[in-house]
Amino acid sequence: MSPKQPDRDAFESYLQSGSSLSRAYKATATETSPVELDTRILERARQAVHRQARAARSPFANNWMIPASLAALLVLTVGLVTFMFEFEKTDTPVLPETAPAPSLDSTLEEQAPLMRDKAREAYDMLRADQPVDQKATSKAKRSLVIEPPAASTPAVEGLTKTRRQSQKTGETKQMVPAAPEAASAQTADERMRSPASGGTATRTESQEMRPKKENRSLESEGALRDLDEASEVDEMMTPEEWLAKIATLRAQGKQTEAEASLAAFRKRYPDYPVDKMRE
Amino acid sequence: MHGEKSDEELMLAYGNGDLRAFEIVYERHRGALYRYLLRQCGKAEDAQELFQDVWTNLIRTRERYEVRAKFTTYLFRLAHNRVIDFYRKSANNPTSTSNVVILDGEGDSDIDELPASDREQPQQQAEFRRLGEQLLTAIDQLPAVQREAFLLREEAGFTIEQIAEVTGVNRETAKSRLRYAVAKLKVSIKDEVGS
Repeated sequence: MSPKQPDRDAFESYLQSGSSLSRAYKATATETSPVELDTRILERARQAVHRQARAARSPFANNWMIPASLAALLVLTVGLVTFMFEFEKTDTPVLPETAPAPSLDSTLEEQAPLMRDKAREAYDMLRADQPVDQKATSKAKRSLVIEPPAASTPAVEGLTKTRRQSQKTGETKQMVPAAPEAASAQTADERMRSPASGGTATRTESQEMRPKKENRSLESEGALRDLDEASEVDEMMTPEEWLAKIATLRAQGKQTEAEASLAAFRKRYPDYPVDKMRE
Repeated sequence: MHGEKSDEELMLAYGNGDLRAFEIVYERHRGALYRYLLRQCGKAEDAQELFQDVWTNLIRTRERYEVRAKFTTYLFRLAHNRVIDFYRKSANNPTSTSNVVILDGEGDSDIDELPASDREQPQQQAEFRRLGEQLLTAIDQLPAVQREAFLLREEAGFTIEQIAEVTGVNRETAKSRLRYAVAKLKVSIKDEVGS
């Protein structure tokens, strides 16, 4: 029988249990795994079970990445949203609606329209409320000299002195704020007029300070204190409000206070283009 | 209690954290698996390495174990794949003196006739009976695919269908391999008995 044509009967006999070949093999095949190898494998099996038990007690014990990732994501989201809110708030600053305060760098072209409107309002208010004494008005215009004093109090004192001097000489000494009796819009316009380039306003026009009402006394200490306090309040207002207040004072006949306030205004805003407001 | 359970039940229990169930499964099949690997690798150290790999793989996949087939089929399938990897690694090693044979695939009739690979004889062969020695020598000289078929039959107790499933061939190929192996071994024994 050729090896390539095995005995089918012999093979079938082998497949049945009890074959001599199988018995011979089982009698000789006694090798087994070494003890140390068995110990190593069983230890791995034990460790796997313990890891499994720990994971069962703490679901996230082996998955700490998940909650950590969620927490990090939450922190980033909150921080980003907060940042966006803050950024939007500060990104577009709200500008005040009032006109910008005059400064050395400002130009007449930028400030003129606002001041023009404010002056016009004061002018209209004055004209509407007060009868106009044309003579007094024109005289007041000519005599109006605006000289910003160093301080409000000295300016007031200067007022007094100058008035006295002018009374004596009958001439206009210089640029001394005067307080004509009739407060008029034209008078206010001339007072507000000042060089655009800044600097103290030195009146060069024919203006003489001739106080009409000499019986108004500014020598009293109480009046001076009042003027100082009023000046402090005036400086907290915007230029337009301040000028409007001056016009109101004139309309109310408080020429002295108006003049003092105007002097303080000129001191604070020497470059305020008052002239343009006359247009 | 565990001793009466099937291998599949014990493996499922181990997947649920029962260490004792694994110990029983390990004790049942460690010998057969070790000899299966030893007969095919030829060297004890190689067989031990493959042996550890197979059980480590089983431990790692314990939670995903599903009863789709007999546990022994699953176990020896793992071992068969490791042996294939071992043979391929040896084939890429030009210094190896072994005649390596790839055990997978169909149509390996030519491979059946290839001589067995050289292997180191275990030191324990002095203790075997002379017939046993001759039988082991004859097994050692079988072609790899025939040897594997015989070992799966003898060590794992597989049927021809199970041998076909583990080795990835059809039933007729598995049967043919086993038939050739048995015939050669019987001739060897008969010759030894005759002498």
